[in-house]
Amino acid sequence: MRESGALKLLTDTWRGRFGVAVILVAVFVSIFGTLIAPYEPEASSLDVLQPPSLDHWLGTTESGADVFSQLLVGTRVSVLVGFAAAIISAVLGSMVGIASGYFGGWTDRILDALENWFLVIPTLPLMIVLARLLDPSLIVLIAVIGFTSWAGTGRIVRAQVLTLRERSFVERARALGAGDGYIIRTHILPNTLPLIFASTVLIIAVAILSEAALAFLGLGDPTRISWGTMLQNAFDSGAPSAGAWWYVIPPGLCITLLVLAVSLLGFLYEEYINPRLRRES
Amino acid sequence: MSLLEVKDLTVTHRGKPIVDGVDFELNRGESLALAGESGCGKTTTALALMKMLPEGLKQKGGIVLRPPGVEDPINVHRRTETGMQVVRWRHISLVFQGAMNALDPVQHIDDQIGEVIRLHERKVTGKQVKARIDDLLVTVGLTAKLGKRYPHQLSGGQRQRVMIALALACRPSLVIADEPTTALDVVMQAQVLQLLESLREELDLSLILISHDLGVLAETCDRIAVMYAGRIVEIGSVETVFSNPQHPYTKRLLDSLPVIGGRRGLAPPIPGGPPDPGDPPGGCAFHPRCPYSTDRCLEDPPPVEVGPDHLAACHFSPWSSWPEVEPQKVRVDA
Repeated sequence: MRESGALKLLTDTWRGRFGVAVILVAVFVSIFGTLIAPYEPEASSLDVLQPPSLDHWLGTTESGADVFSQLLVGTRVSVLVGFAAAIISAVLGSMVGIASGYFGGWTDRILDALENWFLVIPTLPLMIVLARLLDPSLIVLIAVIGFTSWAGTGRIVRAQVLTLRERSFVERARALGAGDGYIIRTHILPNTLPLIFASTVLIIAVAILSEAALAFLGLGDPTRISWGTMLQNAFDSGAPSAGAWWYVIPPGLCITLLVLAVSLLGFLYEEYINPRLRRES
Repeated sequence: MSLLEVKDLTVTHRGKPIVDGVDFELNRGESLALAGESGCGKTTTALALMKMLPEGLKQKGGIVLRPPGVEDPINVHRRTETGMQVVRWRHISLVFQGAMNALDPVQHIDDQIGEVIRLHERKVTGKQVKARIDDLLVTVGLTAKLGKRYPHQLSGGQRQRVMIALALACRPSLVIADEPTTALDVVMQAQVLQLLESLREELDLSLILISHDLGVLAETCDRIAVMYAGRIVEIGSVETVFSNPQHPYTKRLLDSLPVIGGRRGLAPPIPGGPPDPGDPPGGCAFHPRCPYSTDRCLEDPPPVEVGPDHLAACHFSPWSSWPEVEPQKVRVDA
């Protein structure tokens, strides 16, 4: 019954259908974007800042490159950074959350203080500082975003583990001499996974936005085109004031659509694991 | 020779006694009821017998177990944590309170029973474990097929049976059941109690049954120990204690049971509330609520033998008759 419930939420609600469709397209384009792109994304030409035409569906950039091709190729960075950073954040968050909730005592105090510190500090400035310190590259971007966004997951996981470790089935395993590693592997982690997953999905959205923000500020990987670097180039070249809307709106819209799709799926999943959130339908 | 001997068992929390000098013995195949209100120390006593008290509680006093087939008696009170891990479930096991919390929601029933067996017998093969799990499920009146289910797919009664199967997984000689029938409807209660009863005979188990439901205890147990504020105030065979209670608390407790065909309306409740665990009134802890209390009750009452194998801790026992209680004599300052 529950198994079909999850699918039903995906296929029977417009939020589920929209989210799945956008993400499938994004993943497809991020894999095959370089093949579909009609032009070399960075090939310059003399057709500078041309409005959309049959040759260039979304016009051209300040150096005469095809906007549509850049958009397709840029998908890869957004998707890659979003998913990879979220996975790093999930691993970090659940490790810290489980350790601090399960072991308690000083471990908990130290890790909890660390978590609070990461929660309180404004994430974007921290990311900017870290990205500035290190040489900009895709790996650095992923690491910086993952490293600054795990605290929320850690907090949720810790709360769940605190209740789990007092349950009788954990007590029973412990009373029979089961080690901490065993208890965490067989009882704690499987019972926390749904929560970890739910908060990770939402972090994907945050990571995609963060990548765009960092790239827009010139802290992205300079060797790769992403939606964020497209926006940066557009603003640097004065495209908005030149009325070149075709250069600014498409990457912005793509970021919005992808973040929206991921968030909707995240909320749907939260509703699925916490039926109290489900709307009357 | 008794299977379990408990001598002066005391559990303290920051120096305050939660369980205060509990003594009792339990024979092989016998079942003992632990009765009393919430917070009187029933569960704490049970956990202390297995050295499974939560952090912050300290226990003292002798606990000696003489399981059949084991040469030397097991001195539970002198065992270390590692030493106890071998004893738990193999010799004494526990049916936890609340079947919902006691089963892992994301594991199959099979795996949870298998875990208990594997943690104890590291060399056992997968086939053997599977055979024993199927056996256990049948023993507690379920089918082996149910092992492939998750706890939420079982009914309350089935879950309680799984809990009993878990307790029996390593063939213990003593099972402690903590409120095994709360949260079950009356029909299910009767079935679970019947199951415990038949298992006791079949497997030669000793049973400690913890409950505040006197009806349940009367049906299932040979002997009953009534606890109040961390002490046993009366202990004896179920027949004698129920027909001839010798402690005012037991008397009032039994009076509060409705009797089919008895008078209509409820019996007068015991005035006041249970004392703060860890800070009971001095002397006989029941004296502020006892209609018969006098100044003598400010002293600790020693357990008095009031009949064969029947002890009561009241200065005035044995009571030959119970005086009628005048309501105004009841002091409600507890």
